[in-house]
Amino acid sequence: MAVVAKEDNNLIVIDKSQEAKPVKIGMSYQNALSVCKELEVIQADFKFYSLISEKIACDLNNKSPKVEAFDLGVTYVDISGLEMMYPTQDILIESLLKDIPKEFNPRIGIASNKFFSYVAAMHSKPNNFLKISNNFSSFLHAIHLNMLPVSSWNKAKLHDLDINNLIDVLNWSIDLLQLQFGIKDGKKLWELCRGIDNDYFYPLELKNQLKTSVCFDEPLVNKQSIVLAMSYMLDELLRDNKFRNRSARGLSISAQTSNSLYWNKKIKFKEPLFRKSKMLGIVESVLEVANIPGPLSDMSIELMNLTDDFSIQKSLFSFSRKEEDLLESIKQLEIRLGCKVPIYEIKEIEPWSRIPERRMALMRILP
Amino acid sequence: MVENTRKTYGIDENIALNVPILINVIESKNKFPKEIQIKNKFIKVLSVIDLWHVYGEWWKENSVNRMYYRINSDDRVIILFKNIDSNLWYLQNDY
Repeated sequence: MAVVAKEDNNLIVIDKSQEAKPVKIGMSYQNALSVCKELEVIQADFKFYSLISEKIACDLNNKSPKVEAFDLGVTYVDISGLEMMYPTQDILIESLLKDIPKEFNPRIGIASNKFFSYVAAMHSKPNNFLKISNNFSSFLHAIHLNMLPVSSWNKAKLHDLDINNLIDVLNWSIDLLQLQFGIKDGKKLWELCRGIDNDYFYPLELKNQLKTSVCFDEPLVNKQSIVLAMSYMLDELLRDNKFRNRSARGLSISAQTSNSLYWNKKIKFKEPLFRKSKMLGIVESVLEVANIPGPLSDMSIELMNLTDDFSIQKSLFSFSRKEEDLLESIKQLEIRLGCKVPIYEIKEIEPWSRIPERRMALMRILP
Repeated sequence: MVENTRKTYGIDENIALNVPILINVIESKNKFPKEIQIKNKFIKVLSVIDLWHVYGEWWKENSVNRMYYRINSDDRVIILFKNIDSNLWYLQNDY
């Protein structure tokens, strides 16, 4: 089995199983098929992979408040302070492993910094962990060029100098390293040889959103059916526990047509909304003028920027609306009767007057 | 005080509120109201709760010179005044 992805209008093998020995990573699709006729090929779906990666990061976020989704398949979790919640490290690791599907054969590395925790993870067994504390020097020989966080140009230079792992530059002075590989990368190599990694930890920013998607058995061809599908999807989202006592400031619709074209639309609400009727009304008006490229085969909607507003700010002058309605009704009555209507209201003329009959008077409500 | 012009009220005119109504009042020896005639019925005054004098617009010919009485009758409180210049009694309920 091999996984292929599009690169410069060519399909290239990006991963393969152990059984597909003749196939090499980077080989074109046609070459791979020619060397291995029974090869099963799967097209890479990076969108799906990043969704899964994000989901795993979110699940890990439930255990630790600091999680960095570094890359596909690489997630950093700050476990400092968690020892008060988990009696032993084994229990903590077991708890973290539960959040990652076993099919991925997760490997956990523990160290005092990001780089060495990555190295430890690369050397640990599947579904297990490895810890690097003060014994980092014993791992220097195992840190290959590809793992080093330096530019590809410097990696090529290291290869040219016949330097294949970090231990080869352990005895180089910082001046020499900076002279050879530049100030930034030279210093990085010197620090790594001494077990130092000052890279910042960028915690994951949890996107405050809710998403649902649906695949249709038959592509939707008219806007009424799209609106109906959206109505069901909104029902599902608004019933979600995460939406309880919250409002959304926007809605994102993404869909794929039957001829593999993508259509996206982001709608921002003027005020945070939590009622389905209002959201659907806005969506209907947007869909009326939207230009959808074809029948939709699948659709996903996402409620964005969830807020904790669950109330509506009403006007302080609640009677102002009633007065407007009353004046409108009186105008219509006058039009219908064809003459002025004897409807008066009490108005204050001189409320401070000591003479009572001068304080108030009846005046026509419509002048 | 605006006199009754006997003109019918038009739709465009503003209508004054709380206009004083001329009434008959039987006074006591102290010139206090003793009995009041409202709608052809005489009502006894049980007590005078409050009284005050209003004297305004003295620079005009028809100045306002009234003595107000808030009285307690059998089942309600009534406000009336006596126009000191004309010695006439008027009923005026304060809203």
